[in-house]
Amino acid sequence: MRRITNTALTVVAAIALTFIWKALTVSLRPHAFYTGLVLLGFVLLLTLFNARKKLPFLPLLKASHWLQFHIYAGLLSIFLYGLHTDFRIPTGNLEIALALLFAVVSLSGVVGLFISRYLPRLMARSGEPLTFEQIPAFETRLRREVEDLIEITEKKTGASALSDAYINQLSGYFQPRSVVRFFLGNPNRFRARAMADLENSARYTSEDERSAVEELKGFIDTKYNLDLQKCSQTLLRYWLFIHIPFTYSMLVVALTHAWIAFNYTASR
Amino acid sequence: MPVETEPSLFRPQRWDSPFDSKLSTATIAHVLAGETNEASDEAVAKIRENLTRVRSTPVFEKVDPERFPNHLPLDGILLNDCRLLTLPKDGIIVREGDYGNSAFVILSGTARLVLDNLPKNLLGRNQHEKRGPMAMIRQALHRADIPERRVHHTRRFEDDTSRDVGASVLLQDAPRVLNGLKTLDIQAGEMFGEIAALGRSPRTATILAAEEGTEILEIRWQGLRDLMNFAPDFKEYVEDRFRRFGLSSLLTSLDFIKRLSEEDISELVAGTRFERHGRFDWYGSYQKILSATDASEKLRNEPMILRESEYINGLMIVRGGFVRVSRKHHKGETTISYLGKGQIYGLGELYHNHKNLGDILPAQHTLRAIGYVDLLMIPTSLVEKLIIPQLTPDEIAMLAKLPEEETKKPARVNFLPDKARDRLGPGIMEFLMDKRTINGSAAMLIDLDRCTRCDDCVRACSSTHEGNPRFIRYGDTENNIQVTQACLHCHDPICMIPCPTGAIHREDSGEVVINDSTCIGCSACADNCPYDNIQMVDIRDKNGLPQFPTQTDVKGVTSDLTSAGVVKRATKCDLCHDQLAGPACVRACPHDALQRFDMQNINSLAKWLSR
Repeated sequence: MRRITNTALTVVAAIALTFIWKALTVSLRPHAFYTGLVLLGFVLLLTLFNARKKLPFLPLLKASHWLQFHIYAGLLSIFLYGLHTDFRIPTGNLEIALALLFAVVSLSGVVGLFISRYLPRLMARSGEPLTFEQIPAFETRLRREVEDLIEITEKKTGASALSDAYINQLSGYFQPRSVVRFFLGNPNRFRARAMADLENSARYTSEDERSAVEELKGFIDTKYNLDLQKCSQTLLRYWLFIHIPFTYSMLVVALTHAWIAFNYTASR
Repeated sequence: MPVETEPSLFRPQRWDSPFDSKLSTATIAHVLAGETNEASDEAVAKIRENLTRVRSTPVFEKVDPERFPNHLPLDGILLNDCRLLTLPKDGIIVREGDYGNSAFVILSGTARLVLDNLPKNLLGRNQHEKRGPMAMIRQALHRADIPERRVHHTRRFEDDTSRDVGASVLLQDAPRVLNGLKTLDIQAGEMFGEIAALGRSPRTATILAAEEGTEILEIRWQGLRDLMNFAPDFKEYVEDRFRRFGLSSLLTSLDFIKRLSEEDISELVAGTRFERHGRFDWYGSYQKILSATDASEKLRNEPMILRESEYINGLMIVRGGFVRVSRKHHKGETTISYLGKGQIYGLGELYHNHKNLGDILPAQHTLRAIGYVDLLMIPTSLVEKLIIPQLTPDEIAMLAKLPEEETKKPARVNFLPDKARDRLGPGIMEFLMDKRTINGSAAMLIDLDRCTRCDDCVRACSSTHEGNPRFIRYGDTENNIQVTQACLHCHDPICMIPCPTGAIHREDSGEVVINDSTCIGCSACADNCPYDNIQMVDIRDKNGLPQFPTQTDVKGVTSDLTSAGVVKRATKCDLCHDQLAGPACVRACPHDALQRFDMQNINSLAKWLSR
């Protein structure tokens, strides 16, 4: 319901802005000046969301209300930016820099919105929830447990099929994985490949080693969950390291641009 | 030549801080030791006189001091856990709805109990003082770089003014306000307020001083607990009072009893039986349940109240605690709902059996005590004689439908609507009950489908508590719901039971909070919290150094006693009770993933899950 209401309000606001823009254009007024002023106001308001987060004890509405405003006003800003530039690519150096910064901020915002809606569901359905700070310790412990299992099995059975498989194929899977590699490399494929390698090696194992093979399968699944939790949480934390610094950079350039435009328009 | 020292150790103790802030521990020690001191002779004599007066009241006259252990003498309790209040006429002693931690004995004068509800604005109900704008600005500018920093523990009472009793709130224009309302006078020597204090429940009525200069002895909860433990006569007196005074108001909180005549209610009070299932201090049984691996073993550890298909021999009313309601499902049992304080079970069956003599309807569910349950049982004969004839057509229509519905689906009066139950599902219901989350009045739940693990909630909590987060974003999970490790502000806060100083208490608005100034760091509350939501922390001084107990030698030189270990305090979520904006964690979540729930209102949880 909230989504429908907010979307409807955004569409109405976009239509209203279009009418105003059209009226200004027809009446030969400096529409870019007015749309720019409104756009700057929007950007400043959107930036305040981060300040709100730093002052949680002040009675300044709930952060979720701010986020809703941030999302829909952000989307409206993209449209307003189009009106401001007459849907053309700017030409001046400062304007190109500003356009690029705006694109990075908008794109990172949209990506951030997508991952903050998609990844929590993915994490919630893939095993025990973990806090970010715990994950490296869990990774180390898991690797140690796997190695202990293989060592004990080898000592007990005198067979080295599993230790060979671990050294040659599986050890890489149990190493810490980078975020980029995890998401770009199709996370399920890593698990499927590790499973397939283990199954292949299992052909050469004795009866006594079979139970260890089953345990290793469980460890492969656990590692997949750890990777998913770690990489998802890393992504959910660090996308803001693009969005926020670029926002402040954009704000500086936008204010410079506004100052120049104001002086230029005033002199006209 | 080395100086011979006789160190005196200062480590926070239970009776460091007498309930009466006008009494010093030194004066009390003089009184207890029977010593006289020239400088304080008059004061000591006055205290002794008051002690004699208190001991001669009907409440205490039969209490045998010999039954009390040496470390907890009767006089010690009366001096440290009690205080004397002198009230003006119409001064409010207790207000309806407040959470009470004390009981009162009238020493002289009269108190007036107002049986009808008074408008809240007349009761001078003032909220706990919230931080003002300047305090918030200071909070915003303050950077806390030392964790758990406090004023030095030996000086902390000097800074605390919150314990001083202010002037009593008067009921303005009392004669006009009370005109036409039902009141009852309580005479000198009588006791009141102990039911709310012992039941950790809100006051059910407002009581005023009826005469100028009414003298009242206020006994804090810790004193009451010790009196109940060591004085059987006192215990008997309290229980008898509950039947005479508490039971009637509890029964009349039910609509279908409220409309009965006074004679009928008196007959019900006389005929009601008390039942207790489980242990009042249920921490041990909870640990046993947690360690049980399969569902049937968990259920076996919960005391049985009524088995499905057994004959119901009375109307059950929950007085305290929680009841699990389940029914057979294949080879096991599925939990349908739970009953909390004031909820009833069995009226539908009793009505059916009364109307259909040849067709007896047994219990449709199994009832078990979750932890402990205090039940009131009204015998079938009294239900048939007094309650059923007074039921309204609407109530009859609802009850008459029940047996037919029971055969189709497990729904009934008091229970969840179908849609809400479907959304919650048996998994979540069982989970909330197994983990005893249902005890929470402000349980923190996180929807993991929405939580981005950004920790804004933890940061907000930390900023609001001088850099010290009061919860951990971690906890047991069922489906996509996480019950986070934050204080639940329990309906039945068993953490309060062992606190020797009353530092952990309920605010008038219901939050369970710790008074840092009277916490002695004994960790009794933390040990008794079944949810591990109270943390003991090492306290530091303004330079970030740990604080130790101090010792003073014969020359009066004070030094740290490092071998005794760092001084600790108990800390937990206080629901930001002093913040203008309310709980910072809820307000800080940008994704609406975190919410606090009163688990007695399970419908709001179901609604939240169905978003």
